[in-house]
Amino acid sequence: MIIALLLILPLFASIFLFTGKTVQQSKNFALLASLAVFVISLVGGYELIVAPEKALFSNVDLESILGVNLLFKIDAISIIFVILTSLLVPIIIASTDKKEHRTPHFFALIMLMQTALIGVFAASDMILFYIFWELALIPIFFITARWGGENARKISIKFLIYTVVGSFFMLIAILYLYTLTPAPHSFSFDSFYQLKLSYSQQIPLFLAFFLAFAIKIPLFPFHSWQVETYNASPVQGSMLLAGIMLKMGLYGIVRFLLPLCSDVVANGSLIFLPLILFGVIYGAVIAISQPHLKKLIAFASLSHVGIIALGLLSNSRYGIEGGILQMFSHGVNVVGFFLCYYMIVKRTKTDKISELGGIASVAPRFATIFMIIVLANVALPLTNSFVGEFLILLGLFTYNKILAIIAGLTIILVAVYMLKMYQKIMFGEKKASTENFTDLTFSEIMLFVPIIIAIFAVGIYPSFVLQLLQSVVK
Amino acid sequence: MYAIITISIVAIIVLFFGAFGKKKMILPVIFVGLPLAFIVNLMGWNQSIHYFNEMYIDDNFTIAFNGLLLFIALLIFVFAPVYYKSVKRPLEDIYALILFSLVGGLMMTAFGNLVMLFLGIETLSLSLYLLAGSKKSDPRSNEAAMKYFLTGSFASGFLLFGIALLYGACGSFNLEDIKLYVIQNQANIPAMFSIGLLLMAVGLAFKVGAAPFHFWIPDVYEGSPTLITTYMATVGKVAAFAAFFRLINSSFGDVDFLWKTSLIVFAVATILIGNFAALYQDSVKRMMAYSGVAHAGYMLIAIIALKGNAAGVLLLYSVSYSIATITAFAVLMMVRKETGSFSIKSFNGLAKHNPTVAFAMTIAMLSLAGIPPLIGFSAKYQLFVSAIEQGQLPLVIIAIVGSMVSVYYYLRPVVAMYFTRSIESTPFEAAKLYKKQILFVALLLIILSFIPGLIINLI
Repeated sequence: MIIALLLILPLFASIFLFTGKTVQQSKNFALLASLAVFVISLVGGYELIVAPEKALFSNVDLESILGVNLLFKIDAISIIFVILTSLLVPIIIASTDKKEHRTPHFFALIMLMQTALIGVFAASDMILFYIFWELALIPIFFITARWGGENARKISIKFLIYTVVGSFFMLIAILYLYTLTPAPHSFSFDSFYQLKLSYSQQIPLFLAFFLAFAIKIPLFPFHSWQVETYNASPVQGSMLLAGIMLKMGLYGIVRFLLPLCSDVVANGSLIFLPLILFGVIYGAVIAISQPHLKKLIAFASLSHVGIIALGLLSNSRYGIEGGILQMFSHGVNVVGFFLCYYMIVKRTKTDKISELGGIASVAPRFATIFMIIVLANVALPLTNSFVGEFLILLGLFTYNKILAIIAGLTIILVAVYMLKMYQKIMFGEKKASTENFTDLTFSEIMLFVPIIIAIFAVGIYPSFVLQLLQSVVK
Repeated sequence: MYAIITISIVAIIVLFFGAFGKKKMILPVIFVGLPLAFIVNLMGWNQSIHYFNEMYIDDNFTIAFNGLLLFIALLIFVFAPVYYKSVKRPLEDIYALILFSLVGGLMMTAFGNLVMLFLGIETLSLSLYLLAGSKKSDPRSNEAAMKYFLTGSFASGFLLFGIALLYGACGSFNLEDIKLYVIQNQANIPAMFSIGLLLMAVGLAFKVGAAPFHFWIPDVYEGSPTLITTYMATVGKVAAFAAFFRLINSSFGDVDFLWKTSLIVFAVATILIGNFAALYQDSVKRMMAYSGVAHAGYMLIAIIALKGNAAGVLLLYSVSYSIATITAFAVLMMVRKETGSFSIKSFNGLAKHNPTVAFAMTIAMLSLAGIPPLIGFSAKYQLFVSAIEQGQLPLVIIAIVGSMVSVYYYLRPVVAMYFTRSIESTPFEAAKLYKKQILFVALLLIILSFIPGLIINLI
């Protein structure tokens, strides 16, 4: 029931919005629908906290009509991402400014995106998963291409082709797995989990899955679409991409790579972990010298998701738990970060760090909120990232000490580029563009409230999430 | 069987009305006749009746494919009045030829005898040769007819020669007898038999437009009037595939070593050539021609994966390909009417003043590219599953690589429509004529996306 509502509500809202006429009404309607989805997902989360061993389950056998088995299952891992999605989408919708000339289609596409994302996290049938995985591409493609900035068209096509190529590799892997299941063949996750795959079977499977997920996340060296796309996309599109869509790739690692290719992950990690680690350092180092705020966020995100992937593939329990927790935190933090960026750009029409300065003196409320979000990104204790990154590094440390030490360096690098950026933008001399900077209005502050609550709630009391996970991570 | 009779009668009535100059009566007769034939066709469901000493077999496979052919023809006739709006004469010749070729197509799905197969193919092809050249004043249309006729009759020669050799080996044209012969002589198949089978496969590969016998497709598709191209690309291809499938399935399933390798080579070449050649086309019509070639490659996979539910898969794929192709060609007809060109540039900015049409084209392109959740994806995925169950993983990987390539060229019209500005900003005049029909087929495509399971389990 909950699953059905979670999927149908945004889908119908999206269809309804495609026929919408006025922008303001559409926005309000979309906001209302997405808030309803959020409430429903919280109800689902509550049911799982009460009985963590169980999972929300929904199986509608429509194979004879639809050709796919509608098999959904939300367990502790899924619910985290369902809640993340339904938490962030209302914020993203509400952040849209009146002056931006969005049409009702914009909100319809966001709601369609939400349907697809929840579908990805809830599916328990491989083909269903694939369908939602691909479906999520279509709205974000149109959002980026239609409402994006310079060169958005070219960049969105590059992005689309990049990710479609990646997911075709996943399709090959899915079909290969299907042949391995005992007859009558099945696409359900459970039948895949029961397979005892030999090492030689796991290797091609690992490569195909890893390629698909690495492009989506993105991991070095498949990241070339990411910075361009974030930069070209409207800020709502960037939030959707960085906040939620990237998590699809990481979720894929948790769902498929770890349980199905466990031997390859255990033996082969030393081959690809250094590569990912290089990407982490690379992203952080480039972020230090970025003149544009949006690109800085993009490179920072590249670095952060790399750390998450390191944790997940570190083959240790702490790393996996920390990785999953950090996926949630990163989604919240990066959306918060993009929101701050949006507030600045809305007022000053520039995101060049050198043209900004002295904002703190005129906008104290904004300065406080921005500080909290920057510190959450730096992973200060009491913020959400601290717990996740600490567990990841702990997991990495048990796996390989040298890698862990190098990965630990990024904490310093993050602090360098984040605080440097904050200092340049918020303090110092006022520039021409920040002369008339107005502080946040009440409705703008309301956007940040759920993010800040999430930052501190997870940071101070992470154990309720971790307890949920403990039953599933094995 | 009765569907063939119905359609033949309708065609003759159309000719008569044309002769007496009653233009207004022609299309109503067709719009009554085709649904009637559709219903008559359905009445034989689950009965498996044989006619004329097993010359014609009315089993569920026949009925499903004939139903599809009749339905596609009906959809194409929906566009006929708007396409030929400016033509004053009654056009009974064109409509009657389309109907006669449809009769040929209906025979091809149902043959139980190689003679009947040849008869069907020739009925279909001869009408199509004429139809390809039906725009008499256009040199390209004449060129298309000439090319199609020369190459097509050459292929028919191959087919006939193959049939003769098979007859020489088995002493019968009947599919059942050939099957018996195959079972008895499985160990020592004579060379005459294998060569005959190969020649038949070549002839049929030509008719479906599989590489390396696809050279006629781009020129003929481009030169023919667009309505006729739509008809060729859908009815012609689906009928040829149904015939190909029935031939292999009913007689040669046990000697797959004779044909499997060559079909795999055909399929791989077709998928790669079709998709890669489509990348470089500037004319959308030519691109759609190469896309038709590529899809022929995918449909060949259904024949290669013969066992299991390959017939259902072929049906599903035919449905998805045909409806999406009709949608795309309909949009193309409209764009051509307005801008006078098929080039990708003429799609620029279409979404701004004709959002409905742009939406339909997008749906069609995404379906052809196999993007979920549209029916094109279900068709491809069912196809891949059935091939993979027969151990054809490498073939499937090549097919998926082909799909990746195809995403790029299918997106080009979409990108042009939505994200490129056009010079003119007035809505297309032609859109008013085409809008409803195009929306109808696009909605049909969406509805079908929700019932691939029903289609695949039909036969």
